[in-house]
Amino acid sequence: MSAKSVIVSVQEARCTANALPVARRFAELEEATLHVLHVAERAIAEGELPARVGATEDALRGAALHTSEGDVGASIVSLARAQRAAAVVMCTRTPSDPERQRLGDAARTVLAELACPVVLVRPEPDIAGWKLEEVLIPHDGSPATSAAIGPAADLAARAGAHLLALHVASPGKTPASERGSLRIPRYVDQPQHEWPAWAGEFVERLGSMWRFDLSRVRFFLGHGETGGEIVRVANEENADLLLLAWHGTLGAEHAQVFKHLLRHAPCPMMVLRVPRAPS
Amino acid sequence: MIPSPRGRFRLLALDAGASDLAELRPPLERLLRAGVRVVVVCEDAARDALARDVRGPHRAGLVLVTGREAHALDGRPVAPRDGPLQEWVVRAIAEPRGISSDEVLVLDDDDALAASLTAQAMRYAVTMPGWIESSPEWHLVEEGFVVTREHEVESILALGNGYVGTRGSLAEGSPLSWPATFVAGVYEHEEGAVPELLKLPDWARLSGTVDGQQLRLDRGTIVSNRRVLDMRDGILWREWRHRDDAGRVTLVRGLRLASQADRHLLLQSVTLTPETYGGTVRVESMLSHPCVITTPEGVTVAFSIASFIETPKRFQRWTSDARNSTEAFDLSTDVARTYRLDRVLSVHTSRHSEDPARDARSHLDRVLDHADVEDLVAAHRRAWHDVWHDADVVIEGDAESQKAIRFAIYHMTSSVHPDDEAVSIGARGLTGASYKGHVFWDTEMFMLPFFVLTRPRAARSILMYRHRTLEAARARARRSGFAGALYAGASADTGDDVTPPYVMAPDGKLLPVLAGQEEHHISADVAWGVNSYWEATHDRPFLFDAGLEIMIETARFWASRIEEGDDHRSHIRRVMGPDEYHASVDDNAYTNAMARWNLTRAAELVTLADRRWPAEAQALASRLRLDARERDRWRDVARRMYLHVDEASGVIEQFRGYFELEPIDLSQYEPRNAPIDVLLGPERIERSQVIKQPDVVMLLHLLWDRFPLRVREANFRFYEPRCAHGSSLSPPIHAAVAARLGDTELAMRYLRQTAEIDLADNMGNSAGGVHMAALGGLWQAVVMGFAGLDVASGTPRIDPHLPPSWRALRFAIRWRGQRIDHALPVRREAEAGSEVGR
Repeated sequence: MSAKSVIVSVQEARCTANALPVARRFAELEEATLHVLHVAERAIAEGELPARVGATEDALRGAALHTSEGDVGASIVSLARAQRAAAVVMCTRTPSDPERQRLGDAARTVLAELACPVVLVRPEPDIAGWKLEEVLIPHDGSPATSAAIGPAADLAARAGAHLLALHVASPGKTPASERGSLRIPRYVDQPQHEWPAWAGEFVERLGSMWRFDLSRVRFFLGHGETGGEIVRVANEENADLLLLAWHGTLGAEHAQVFKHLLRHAPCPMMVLRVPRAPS
Repeated sequence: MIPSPRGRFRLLALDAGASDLAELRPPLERLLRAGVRVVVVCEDAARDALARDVRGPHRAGLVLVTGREAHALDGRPVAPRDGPLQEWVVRAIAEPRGISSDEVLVLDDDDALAASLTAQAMRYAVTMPGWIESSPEWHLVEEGFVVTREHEVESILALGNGYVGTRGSLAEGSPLSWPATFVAGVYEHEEGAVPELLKLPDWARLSGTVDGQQLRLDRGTIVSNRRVLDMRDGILWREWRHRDDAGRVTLVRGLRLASQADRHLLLQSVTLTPETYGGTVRVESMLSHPCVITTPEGVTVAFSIASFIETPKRFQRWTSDARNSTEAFDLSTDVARTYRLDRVLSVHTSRHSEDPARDARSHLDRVLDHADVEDLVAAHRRAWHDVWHDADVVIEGDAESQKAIRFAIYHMTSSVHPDDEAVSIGARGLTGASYKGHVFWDTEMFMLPFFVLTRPRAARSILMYRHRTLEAARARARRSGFAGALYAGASADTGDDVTPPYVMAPDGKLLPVLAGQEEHHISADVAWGVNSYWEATHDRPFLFDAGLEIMIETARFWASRIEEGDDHRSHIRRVMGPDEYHASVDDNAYTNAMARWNLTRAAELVTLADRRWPAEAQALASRLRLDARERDRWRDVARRMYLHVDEASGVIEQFRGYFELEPIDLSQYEPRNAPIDVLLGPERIERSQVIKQPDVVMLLHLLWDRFPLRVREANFRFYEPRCAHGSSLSPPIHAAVAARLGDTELAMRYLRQTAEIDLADNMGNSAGGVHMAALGGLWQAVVMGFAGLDVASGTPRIDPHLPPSWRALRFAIRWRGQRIDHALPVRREAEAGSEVGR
């Protein structure tokens, strides 16, 4: 058994169909053991798990099965900590959950408690045959975002995926202020010089923190409301995965983009925590 | 030899006799740098050589004795030599300086003199060839290491002397390092691409390895890392203390410069001190052999290089040879001892030399025959001190503005070569590859005023570039169906336009680039620069060699460019003004007014030349086939030039139909993280009154005395809120005009915004080089805005409007061969508007 582990939480068939292939692919890439967790009000026997979550034996081959009872979020956190998980894969909510923000209590708990990457998969639409080929990376130009996303981007690049870094220009949005951030040029003296140089600089700065071959990275400048623009580009580019750096806030005034993506992202979304800057 | 009774001594006397000075000098200088006074008894020739060649502050410790005559370089009198050397030295030199006899060591002339002197020198630590001497207000400091900032830092800390420029990259490199060196005017023309400044190899690249582990900021732990651009001395200093993964601590100090005293020289010096360990340290330079690069167009650049190693136990010079592509030094180090590597490069190009490689080599040999690294550093410092003597601007009470104005002066000076008439200053100077070294109207309108009024020889060289490219401007006018000279919107070495027709924006849109085709105002801008220089210098040779010809040919262009309207007015249609958000407009106010000025001023200057220097004027008129009728037509066309002014408000319409465009309240889009044309789209912006940069306000700035106060005020208040500042050229002009209008609070906001363009990097694009036009504009904002310097009348006048935080503003200008010093206190109403006495 590998020292690394990837946890996938599956509670019902719809979830299993979308989350399990994603989790299996990440386990392969991380050379990790896949741990499948089912939580119910009353724990079931491990042997009942495939039927309960609608998974075939083939889909679960090689995976370690865990069943638990009680709170789903707490169970995932507990298992992830015990296994020192490299990543957790779970559905944003079960289809029976209220619409709200498409983030159920379990996902909230996991995001709040765990520092490892969390892949949120919407239970619908069906993403059968999911592959990791096109990865969209919304990026605010800050080093903290690059640092948070770097390992996952590296993983995706090693898997042969193409990466598209997306920066969105928005009115009413304050540019990143962290030292070393790259903002959209406030002054464009001569567009024929400024834009190619700036786009090149954006990618090179990624390259200074991401050590993989930058020929796999493209850059795109979007404009408009950030969440909507990410979804638009993800759809147009047939993105298979969103890599989202997240500062860990879900308050009303914050994380508008995050909430928008929870509702509308057309593909799984890997949430990567941005470490707090030292005070 | 009489051994010193103590381990260290404070005065060393040396009877050199006829010894070889070349062998004695390195240890002698180390002793002097360590603070030891050195008395050298020698022959006349040796005395003269030492007096000439030992430079820097430590030379004050030298006493030269020939026969009975003794000369102390600290300027204090010395009694003539008599009696035995030891006794005389103690009595005449040591005791008056508070040095006791047991602190004196005398070395006699013998076969082992050099070895004895070297042995004494080795008791003292190896040091840098100088260290920071200026006060912190002259420093631009980069503390620590943030990898993603490196490209910006390299631009901001760039060094240059107008001939060669080199970015302030880390010697050991980093994951985001773009080291580059450029020689002004040397472009690479790739097939199908616009020409760009040739990037030369990284001459300053060094790699240090301690027992196999590379010394790099991204490995191990940074204990401290401080880079200081000393703008007063034009030197980039560094002090870096590093702990490697094995816990070994190394202190690295360095300096780098592009000599202002000898523009062909680049210099690097590094000391390395293993503070907690001893062992093998390998230092490799990436460029060591004589390096020759030739562009496809046949321009050759050659480097010749000499390296020196100084260890606690020896001095050694490496002579470059062509056998190795790198140069490696293996140092067997002792704990806490210092080791030094100096590298001196000579750069020559075929632009000025038939055999650049030979000239680089012979130049380097010649330099090093007469000077050591300390001398070269000292000469460079003196040259920069001369620059500051002419050009410094002192702002008391506002440290940020003080630093910003010196930053502007530093980079403008670093970008100009007063004796090279074939090159101008590109948009990023020699600090980066952005804008590819291309030259725009920015040079004449934003940078040139600084040179005209502080370093006129440099201004002349900048304008001579326009004369050398005049033929290309004539050809461009002809191709466009006009007469005279139409300068290129962007030009490189030939003067041909190098603006591409389209650019792919990062949002995937293909944007047409019309500036190159439509910004015809550049011809008037060049003429404006010519006239500014003429007014400030009355340089008659320039007027007849170049200036008048440019004035005439640009006037001819405008006379052919105008279209006679049904209203019998002169119209200029299908142009772009400085506001590049609106293309293909008719009767752009800036273009029309500057064309009118160009036509009128050309006629005036030709008339002046006719009257004052008829023979030369006649010869020129004959060569250019200029007659009185053509001159009269210029005046007529100018008199009838269209300019629409709203009579009620006094507001000048920026172009025909501008007043009917959609007004947009820009404040509703703040804060924003992008230029307004990105947020709203270029099509909507073009249909709106939003402008990119001053257009009518630029006119106010240039033709201040042509507009009554009411008109200046009305236009500034109308256009300022409509300006989105989409160009770095915008904030400084707003600062200048707001200051002249007395709105110092608004002017200060714009001045800070200008300073931040590079120093705060809130543009996100200083990575490709600093913004030369904004820097020139910043100087204008301070000198022409806050100080209110106005030279339009032919007599410099000031009308200061200083912000309350400024306790004083001091600067000097050169006006017709004289230096005029200004020392302004904060404005008191009674003092405003005073004429400056000369």
